[in-house]
Amino acid sequence: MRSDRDQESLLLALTDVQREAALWNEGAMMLLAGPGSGKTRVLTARIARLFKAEPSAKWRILALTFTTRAADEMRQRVEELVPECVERMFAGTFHSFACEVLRQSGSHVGVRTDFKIYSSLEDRLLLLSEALMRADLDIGEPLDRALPVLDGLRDRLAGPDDCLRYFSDENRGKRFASAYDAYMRHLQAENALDFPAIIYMAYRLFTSFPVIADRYRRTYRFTSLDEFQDTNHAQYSFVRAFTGNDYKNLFVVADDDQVIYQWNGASPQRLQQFVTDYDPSILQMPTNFRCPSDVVLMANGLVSHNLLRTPGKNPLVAGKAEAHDIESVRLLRFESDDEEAAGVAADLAQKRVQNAGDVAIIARTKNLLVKVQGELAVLGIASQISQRRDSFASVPYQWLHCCLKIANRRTDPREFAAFVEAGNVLLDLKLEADDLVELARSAHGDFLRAWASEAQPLSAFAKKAVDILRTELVDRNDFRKFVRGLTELFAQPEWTLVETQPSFEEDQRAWRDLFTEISGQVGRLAPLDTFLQELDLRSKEPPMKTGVVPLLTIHGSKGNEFPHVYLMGLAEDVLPSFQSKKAGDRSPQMEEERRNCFVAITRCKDTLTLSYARVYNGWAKAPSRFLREMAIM
Amino acid sequence: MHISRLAIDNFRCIRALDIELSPTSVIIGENNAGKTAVLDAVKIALSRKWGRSGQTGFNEYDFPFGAAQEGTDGDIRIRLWFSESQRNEWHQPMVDDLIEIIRTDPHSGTHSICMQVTCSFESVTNSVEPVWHFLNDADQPFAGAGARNQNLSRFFDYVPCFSMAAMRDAGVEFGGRSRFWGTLLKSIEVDKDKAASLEERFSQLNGELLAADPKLEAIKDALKAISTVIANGAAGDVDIRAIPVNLWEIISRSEVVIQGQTQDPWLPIGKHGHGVQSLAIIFLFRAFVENALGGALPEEAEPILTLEEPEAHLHPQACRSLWLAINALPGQKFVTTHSPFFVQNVPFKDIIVLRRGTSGPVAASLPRNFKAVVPYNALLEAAIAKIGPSISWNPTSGCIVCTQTISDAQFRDLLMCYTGADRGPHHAEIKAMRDRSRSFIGNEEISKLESWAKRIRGEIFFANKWLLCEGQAEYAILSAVADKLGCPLDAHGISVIDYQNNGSPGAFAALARVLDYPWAMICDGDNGGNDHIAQLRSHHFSDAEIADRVTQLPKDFDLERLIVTCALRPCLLAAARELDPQVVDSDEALLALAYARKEEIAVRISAQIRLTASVGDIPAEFRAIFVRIGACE
Repeated sequence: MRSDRDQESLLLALTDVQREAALWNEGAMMLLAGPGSGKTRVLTARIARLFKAEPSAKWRILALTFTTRAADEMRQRVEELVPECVERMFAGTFHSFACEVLRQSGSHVGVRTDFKIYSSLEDRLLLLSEALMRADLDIGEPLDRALPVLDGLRDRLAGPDDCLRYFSDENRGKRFASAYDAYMRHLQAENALDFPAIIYMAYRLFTSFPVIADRYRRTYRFTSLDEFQDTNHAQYSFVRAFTGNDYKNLFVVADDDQVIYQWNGASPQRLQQFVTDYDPSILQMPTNFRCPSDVVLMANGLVSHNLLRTPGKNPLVAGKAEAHDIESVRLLRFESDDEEAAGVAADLAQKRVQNAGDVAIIARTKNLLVKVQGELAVLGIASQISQRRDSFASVPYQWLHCCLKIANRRTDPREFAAFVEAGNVLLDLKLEADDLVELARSAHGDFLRAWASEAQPLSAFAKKAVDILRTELVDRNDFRKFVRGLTELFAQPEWTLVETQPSFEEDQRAWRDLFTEISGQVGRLAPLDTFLQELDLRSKEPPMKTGVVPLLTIHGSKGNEFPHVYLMGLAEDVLPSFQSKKAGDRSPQMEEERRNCFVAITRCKDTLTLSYARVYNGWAKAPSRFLREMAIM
Repeated sequence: MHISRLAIDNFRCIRALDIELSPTSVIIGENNAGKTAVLDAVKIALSRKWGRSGQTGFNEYDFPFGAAQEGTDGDIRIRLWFSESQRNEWHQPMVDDLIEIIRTDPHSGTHSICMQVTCSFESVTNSVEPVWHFLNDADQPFAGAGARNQNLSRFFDYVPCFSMAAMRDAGVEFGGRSRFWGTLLKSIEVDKDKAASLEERFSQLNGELLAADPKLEAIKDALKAISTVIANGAAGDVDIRAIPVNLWEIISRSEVVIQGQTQDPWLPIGKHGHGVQSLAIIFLFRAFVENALGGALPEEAEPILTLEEPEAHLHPQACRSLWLAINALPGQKFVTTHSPFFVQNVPFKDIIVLRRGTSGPVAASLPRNFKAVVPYNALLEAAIAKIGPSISWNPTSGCIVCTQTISDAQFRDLLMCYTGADRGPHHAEIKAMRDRSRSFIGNEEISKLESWAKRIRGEIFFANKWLLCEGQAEYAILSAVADKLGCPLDAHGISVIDYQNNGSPGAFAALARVLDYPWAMICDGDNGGNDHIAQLRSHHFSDAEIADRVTQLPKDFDLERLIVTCALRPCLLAAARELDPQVVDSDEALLALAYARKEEIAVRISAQIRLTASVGDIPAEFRAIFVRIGACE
């Protein structure tokens, strides 16, 4: 009885169609959810309901999301609804699930359980150059151009043996095939994977050994996939390999009008492919509870020009009660891009919005955001450009990260060299990694202990830092205490790190959030290696400060909403981009630009301000075709 | 979930031991052979005391090399494997619950878990530091979710481990605080109203009892003085209780009374003999598992019981039936025993013979499979497919596994998989596997042996050496010969097996080979003897082995003819005259009588040998067999 009532309360706040979706049990389902339609609520309500129906069962639910942030949010919501069952849910990105699978079962495809993850571009370029050196190969192209080619091959799930068909020039293909092989071998020798290799190897595991995939689909009785429209070929193939032909309990939430990762392999046709492969029931949630009705009309007008859409898709319906006294959509015109930046900044200042975080400025590319950030600063308004970071930006936090990595792998020369280098900069030391390695190998073999015995910094704070490391990581192995001690030391104003170390304050905030989020996910007792694995997968970008205006690219704005949104640069060659125009007015690229615009405008809750200039970078540009398509010009 | 394999390194007297286990495994061996160490290793590895400092189950005496030797070479290591014997054997909810630590065979899809405990001695802190890990398919400790602490307690819930030492005291085990009886009593649930009404009646009974003799009332009054001394203001009271009025007090005093036969008095368990007490505790365990174990543990939990000498103090008849009772106990059992009566009903495959080797205990049991470490290739894949289910490839350990004797044709097929220049070591590996596989004893033969040998085999497993002879007559005479040669059978632990009555010589010799018993055989120089030797050949004994082990009498000689033609002839004559005083002293007449009354005369010959023969009279053929098993020079 109690559980019936709980079920009721879970579903009470949902609309009819949301409830219908949340009541979905077995079988494939494709939920076409427009922006602001409450899809996250539906997803979490459904998961909580499934758990509540069998609270003491042991089967699990796999909830795949596009970002770690979305996964954290889902976990929190489910924990609020069914705290006793949250352990039974794996909420994470494709990469984090694939990582977990590889740590458990990767040995069958030669991946050791304790592999490292290299996410930063510098690390990967270094690995590639080492691999080529070891194999005595010359790829004949700059490495930073070659690496994306290797990534692309893995995104297509092509192995070194069967990648030649992707090259029109056979000789070039052969060079790349050898380089690819050398790179993968080097990763294996280093016991490491990079991001493209994670999905590629997990896919190979599942396809080479279907019983391994079977074990996961038996345990994960239900699977949900958020933002399905941005799934690329490798990710979708991984899902196909996971489900096999018989598993149908896939609940995907998608909107083909919001595909904006076409460049990364996403495609509006993916939805059609899903329909063919899984024959799902389809539910539409077109009602938008976020945006003013004018914006909903504009959004509908915009995407009606796209041809690559799910047939029979309903237009959005405005579902929000709104106040009629405010002007919800405005269009600002400027003479030049500089004036546009200044004008938008001035307009925003005039608005006198109480909380700066309630206004977001969105643009197709980062350079418009840099301009407006300067103009906002002139007016005394703080702002922050949001962007994924694969590593910490300041020396103190880079060193902290290095400390943890070497504490986890005490005999890894590569980690050690990075650690010594960062330590030399932060603590003003002149230690040589090679000497210390020699020293360690002649005694106890522990690199970190050798460093701690040789590090004799001059300043009191540096001394203190070495002490903390020695006590908590060398003599003991308590990384949490180490982190606490070191971050407290960093924060002491007398050390003046805020003043002397660029980006220190950002890293400080990023670290605080990451530490809390990761502890929430893996538990407060999780060992160091588990903690680091999760840290490797996450962006080290600082969270938005309160009282700061967020400046976002359209891709960065995905999944967010703000009361007030500015969308800049609505001019031909900007949005839509020059490349998409080159590809043609009816090209898939142009359709993607249209969807970019669609995503951007549907971030707003109360007001939307669009702007364009006559001249960008000294070149005259016509107003964006999208303005016409949205019928506001 | 059963322990299918157990490996122990550096634990007490054990240097390295690796044994496969059955749902019920019976370990036999002399005192000090390491039986208790094996049971304790299981017990400690599965105990819940882990993590508590100082009470980890290990102590410094568990290190075979003492505290002096540090470094991982001397570390204690215990590994337990739990494996499905076929796919889907384990209940899915348990698999779901333990998915983080389960390995899945990539071909058969069967699941397994490997738990490892290592323990090192820290001389600095003078403490032992055990660490628990779960290992992946490549025998590395899991990283990622498989490394989390909560896995261990979750896992322990499925394999609760109990132990019963050789000394079982019913007085303790049936006390209100004991682990089985006490827990059972605590699990008794009495309805609240019922409890109140019972307590009310106990109180009434007390009143009636007190009223039965006025003396009690007087005593009570005298004791009331107590309350006047201790009462501080409020007056207290004093009462006498013949029986407790609190329900739990009553329940906790419950005792078991046993009536041996209908006419016997009912006696509390503690008043019975040791045998009954010991037996009662074994059955108590069953009642405990069936009635009180559930509760906090998952449904699939199966207890693991270590049981030392269940036969203690029991009559042979009781010992014989004990096997059935123990085999029927729920869960997995490890039993040590010194009782041939107990062992005689144990299936051969469940017997583990433990002996003290030059570097610690070694174990012998019927082999279940044979392995060869070779590289995989397409030819091998085809060969395996051709041979069928008796041979398979295990990619994780990189070896072929076979579960039967490999035929010559199969052997050739396997060799042909490796034809390159590097084939040498692979061929050697396959040949070694083929050779080992020849010791395989098929199920059919085992069951024949078991039914034939039921009468004597209990004894043979406790012997040191086996002598195989044709029949009862040889049995009688060989025992007298042994006395004469100064190597009496009992003192040397020699068991004489008259195989014609009990099975075939080939089967016994094969059993001796796999269980590592030194053996020798004597047979007649006739067709029967030739048949017996042929049987050895069909069990893959080589001519060299046969020459080394078997004494065949000269052509057309049998036991009687040998005696009549050797220095023991007077013994035969005397024996014959005992049966027939008129018998003619000719070879023909003596043999005719000896053949006619074979067993009768053999017993008399053996008496005569003991009485009248000298060592020099023993023929070389008899002496040879005792030399072969190392019983005399």
